[in-house]
Amino acid sequence: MTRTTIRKSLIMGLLLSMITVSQSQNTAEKIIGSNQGLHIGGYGQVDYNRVINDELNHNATLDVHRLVTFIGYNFNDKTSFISEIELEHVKEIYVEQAFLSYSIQNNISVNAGLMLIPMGIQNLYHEPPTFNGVERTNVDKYIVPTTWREMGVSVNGRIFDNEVNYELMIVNGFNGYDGDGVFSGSSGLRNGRQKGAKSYMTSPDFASRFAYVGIPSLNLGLSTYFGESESTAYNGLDLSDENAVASADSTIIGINMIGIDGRYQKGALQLRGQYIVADLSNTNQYNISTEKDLGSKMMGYYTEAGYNLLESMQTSNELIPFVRFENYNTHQETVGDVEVAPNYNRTDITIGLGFKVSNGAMFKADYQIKSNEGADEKTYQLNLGTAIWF
Amino acid sequence: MIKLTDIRKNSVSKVIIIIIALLNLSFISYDWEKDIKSRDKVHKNISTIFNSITYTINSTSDNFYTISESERIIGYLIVQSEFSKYKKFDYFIIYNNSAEILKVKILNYRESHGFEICNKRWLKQFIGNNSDSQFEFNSKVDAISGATISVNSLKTSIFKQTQTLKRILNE
Repeated sequence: MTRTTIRKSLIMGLLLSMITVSQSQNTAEKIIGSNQGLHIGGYGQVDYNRVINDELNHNATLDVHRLVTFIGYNFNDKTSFISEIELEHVKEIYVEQAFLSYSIQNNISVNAGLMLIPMGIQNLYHEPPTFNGVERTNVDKYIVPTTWREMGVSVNGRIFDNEVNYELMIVNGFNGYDGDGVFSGSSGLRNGRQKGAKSYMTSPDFASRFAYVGIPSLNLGLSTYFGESESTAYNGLDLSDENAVASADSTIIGINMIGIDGRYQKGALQLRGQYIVADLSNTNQYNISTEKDLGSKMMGYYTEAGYNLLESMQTSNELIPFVRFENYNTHQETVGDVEVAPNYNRTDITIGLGFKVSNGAMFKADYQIKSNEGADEKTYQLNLGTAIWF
Repeated sequence: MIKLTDIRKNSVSKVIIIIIALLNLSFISYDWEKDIKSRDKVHKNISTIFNSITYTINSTSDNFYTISESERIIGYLIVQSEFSKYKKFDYFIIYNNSAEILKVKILNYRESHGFEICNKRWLKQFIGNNSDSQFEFNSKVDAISGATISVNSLKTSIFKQTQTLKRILNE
């Protein structure tokens, strides 16, 4: 054994031991250490929107659209609390998520509290740098009322060698009647979200999502939601009074919503699409007793393609031109005296550019051509925005 | 052919490495060896890859192991934990003795978002990814929409571990 060999071994040993030391210097670990601790994050979008019309002038709006603070705390390996507190348009404050999560085993956890309904892509993945375009898709506004969150309990986990992820949820339903009808033909169920603010419930609703990720680059999702809307007419109701019960029954609707979505990302190419259909029952009764014009079927879909022009460059920045076609109709079908309103059948074409300067920071610009079946004129809109997520 | 001098050299260096490792303060980290499922997974993979049931692994520091057969180092194992968004996930890398990646596998994934990185077909993209430029290394592994944080966390971690291992072996 020569002296150089010993020296080499010594150096090797020292260097190996340094692996541990260097790892302890990860910033996250430095603050938190092990699995426990506090996590702070957030996301936001600041927008400029201007409607462009040949005849009328429209002022631009400049808005701190949303600013969300994420606070998560890991009590231990199995238990964590997740919260998101949102400031919308500067003045409105909401809690977007607040739930306790407990892992029963490695791949199954139970969550309880205020949670996101797992319907479609953007309700779950709503951080602005994760989607193209300044604003969220309108399918995810009028058909899926993002950010859709309610109170309840869920189980989520992974099966089939991590190729399928599932989430099963029991939650309170929409507030459909609180003295007045809340749903409407133009905005569908959107105004009925209870958002965890003194939510009430007669009977729970059910939501589920299955995502298949067995093929790399591809992510497929199947979401369902079914149940009935809630109504304050049931509160303090004398169940032996048939008329009163019948009257209360006419203030709720049944909801069966199903959605399929797909995302594909390979090299520079990004494709995504989503189709959502909602069958609503008892709308005739509901519309009569509340004088509303809710449709009995709503439908929306979009397809989008983007291409990162900087993919082959020596940079982690991304420059993504994209185009999206979107159609959504809150009056796909109606029943009774409510006639189909053609202007609720809306089509948006969006052409835009995103410049991702980091994974969590993006500048966005897009131009939208909006039309509906009820009018010949199109509306044009220019959107500029910044999107962040950390 | 294994030379006698090689064996001697390796045993001496191993002893020294272990002593130094013991001298290091241990950091609190996921102890995969105490978790039966994880231990089985790791050993099953090593056994299959090196087609051996007689190999031994030796810890040189908290998460770094040499894989030896008849006292000759045939590969390396790194078991590491990284953050997804707010929880840690655990994974391991198996290398051959020239620091080429033979296998990457996720042991435990705890968050509901980003689980796509557990997919074994996606993880295959790391095998043989020997690039010394982080940009090149990253570009050989496809992004996953909806799992950006976990993907980046894993890419960065594997690249860092591999570079450190290579540096040591080049000394």
